Amino acid sequence: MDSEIGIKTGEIAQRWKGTPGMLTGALQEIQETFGYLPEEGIRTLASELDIPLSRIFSVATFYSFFRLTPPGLHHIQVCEGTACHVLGADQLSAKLFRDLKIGDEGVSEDRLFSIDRVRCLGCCSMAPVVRIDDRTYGRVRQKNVAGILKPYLKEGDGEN
Amino acid sequence: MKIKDADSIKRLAESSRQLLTPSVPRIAVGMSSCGLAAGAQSVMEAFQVECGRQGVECRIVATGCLGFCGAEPLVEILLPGKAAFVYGPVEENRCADMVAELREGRLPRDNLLGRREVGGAEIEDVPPLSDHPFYKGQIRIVTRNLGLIDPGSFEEYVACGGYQALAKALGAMSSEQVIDEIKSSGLRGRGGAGFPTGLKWEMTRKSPSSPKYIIMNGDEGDPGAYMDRSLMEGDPHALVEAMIIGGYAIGAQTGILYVRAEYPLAQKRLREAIGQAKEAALLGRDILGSGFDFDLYLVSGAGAFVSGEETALIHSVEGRIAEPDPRPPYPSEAGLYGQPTCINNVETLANVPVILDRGAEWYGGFGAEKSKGTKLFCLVGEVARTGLVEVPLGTPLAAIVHGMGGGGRGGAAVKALQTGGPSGGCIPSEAFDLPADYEALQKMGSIMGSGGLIVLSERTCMVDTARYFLKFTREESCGKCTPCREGIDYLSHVLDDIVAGKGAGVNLDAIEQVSRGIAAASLCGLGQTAPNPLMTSLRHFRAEYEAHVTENRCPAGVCSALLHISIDPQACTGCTACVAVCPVSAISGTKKEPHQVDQSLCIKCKACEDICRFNAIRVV
Repeated sequence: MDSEIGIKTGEIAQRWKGTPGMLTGALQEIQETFGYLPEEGIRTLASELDIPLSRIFSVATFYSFFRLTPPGLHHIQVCEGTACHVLGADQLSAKLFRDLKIGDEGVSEDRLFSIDRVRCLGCCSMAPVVRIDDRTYGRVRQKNVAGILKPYLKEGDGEN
Repeated sequence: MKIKDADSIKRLAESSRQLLTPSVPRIAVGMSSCGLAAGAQSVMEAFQVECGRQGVECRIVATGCLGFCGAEPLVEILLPGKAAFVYGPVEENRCADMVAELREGRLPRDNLLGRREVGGAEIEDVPPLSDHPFYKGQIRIVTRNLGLIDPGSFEEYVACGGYQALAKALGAMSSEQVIDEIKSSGLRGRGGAGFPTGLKWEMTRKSPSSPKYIIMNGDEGDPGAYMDRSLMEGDPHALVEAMIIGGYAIGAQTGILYVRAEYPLAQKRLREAIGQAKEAALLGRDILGSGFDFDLYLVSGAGAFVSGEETALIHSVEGRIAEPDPRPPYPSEAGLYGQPTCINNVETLANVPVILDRGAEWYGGFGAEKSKGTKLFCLVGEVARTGLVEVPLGTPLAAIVHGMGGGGRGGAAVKALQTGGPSGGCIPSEAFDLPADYEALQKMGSIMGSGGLIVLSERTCMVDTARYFLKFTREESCGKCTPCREGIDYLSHVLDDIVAGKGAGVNLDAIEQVSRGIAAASLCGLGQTAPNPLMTSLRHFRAEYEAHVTENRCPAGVCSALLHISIDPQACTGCTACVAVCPVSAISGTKKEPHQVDQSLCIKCKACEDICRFNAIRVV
């Protein structure tokens, strides 16, 4: 296991070994590092922490936070909390899916964006709320969407 | 710096006081998640740039949430020798002017909400913040430090009296005395069920086996509730202190802060606080020379609503899937790794240091007969002023919704209040004279829950809201027991049909019967309470269900399959803004003349309603 994924996962596993919550903690850090849980990472983790592979997979698929496929360059989280729902989150996410041409698989064809509809982000007073990467946007209306997406589109253009 | 005894805490508090009241103006920007979502980061940077550019000496700090989230970004400017002035919302482009006014010795007046006294001369013509309609009637016990201190600063917490309760507990009280104090304060669990906290501590302490564990339940999964996030982000040391006290009381040497993954900032702030407490030797061996050892770890959740249930949470900490177990045995007998475990909610714990500091008798002076103290509520949804409010238990709902909240958003008529999230129910506006306490809400078929208050107006569809919660619990059901797994799935699909206009054959009485069955036969709280939103809204708003089922009509104008979107020719100016945003080109017309909607193309996305400046879009 001397690939980048193997080495980095090994380091993460060593940091968490023996502490309470080590499995979810290590999985979370792996996901922060790679954007998702690569299969090789999960296999490395299983042997380093001495936890059966089946149990890691059951945990990784039970909790909605973990993803087994890579996200887009920019990951969009649309909050599905009650306040956001009442104030039009459904229409908002439909617009994002439509405008970014994203289908059920949740990632755009050019892999620039991915979308997840997520559990309450706890910014209910600013509903409806959308988080792009680490930045949270509040009181998002359909008419603001284009403006919010603009900086992320530019960056993608620059890279092409 | 290591803190070895109670006296060094007092000395540190003295020497740190100038951080809170420095000799130069102190500009505090509320930088909790909600403030950040409103642009607080750019506001803070603008103040830094402007103070530098204009040569104004200031201390600029990031604080937690001042509560009035609807007016974020919130900024407090403390002027030495005078008072602290709270502003909101503060836009980035106002900062230069505000700094200029400070430089010229004038008080900025725009968007000034009120003043907070800090022992200096009052400025008479600025009313106290507590007179502002949003703050009137609120009492800040749990939120005592929110928005006032920098949550990343150990010294500022100590300057506000932090860790003195710990010193008192370890220095002058036995574990039993600590438990007695909490018991006589009347503190009950703020996570929803309202179990007496002192009793929970006592049961865990008396369990014969050891080691014991104490866990903070920071899995605030209720959508529409963020009290715990605000506390974890804004006053993390209060929770660290409470956990050490709790550990001492029940006889645990290991504590776990369990925090959901959706709260990255809360996790960061708590990790910093743990690090600082360790450095100060307030965690580790022989804390304050008392001989008591205690360590604290942060464990992250990973996105599962059921983790908020105690036995499921324990499985999650153990690195397993969060499936609940039947109780008994209760966690106080056999919890984490099979050992006695006490699980307390974040808000509950935040009360502990104040109770020890000021005494059970003082604390019991607030609240109602069986519900002592205060409760945090998140007032959100279709309400004019959104935010985090702290009120004595027993405060009438009307005072919260209409007083602090200012009634419906944009003048909309308030129809109901959803309390307790997916486990709670709705309370119709006619019953708003009800006091907000555990027993009164339960009597109405709802629950206090963790404290989310979602205001529903005439623009909210009760059927859609019930469908929303059932979809939520269907997705979050762990699948272990049949009534919850299959029953909620069934109800959820029936409601999907109703809002899709396919509810013609639905029998509302049968739905109620299935709901009662799920409530009676499910294994854990998730399933037992999942039908509540449906049952309560059926009870109070049956006519809305009937309109959907028998007339194919959504009275609130929400359920898209039942909607008809048209343009009022009298109001339409032909500005063509709606034509440009319609994703399916369903709107047509000549410029400067009323437009029309092609019903065969319209997907009811309401983009036209959102953009229209003339209120010409009709949704029925």
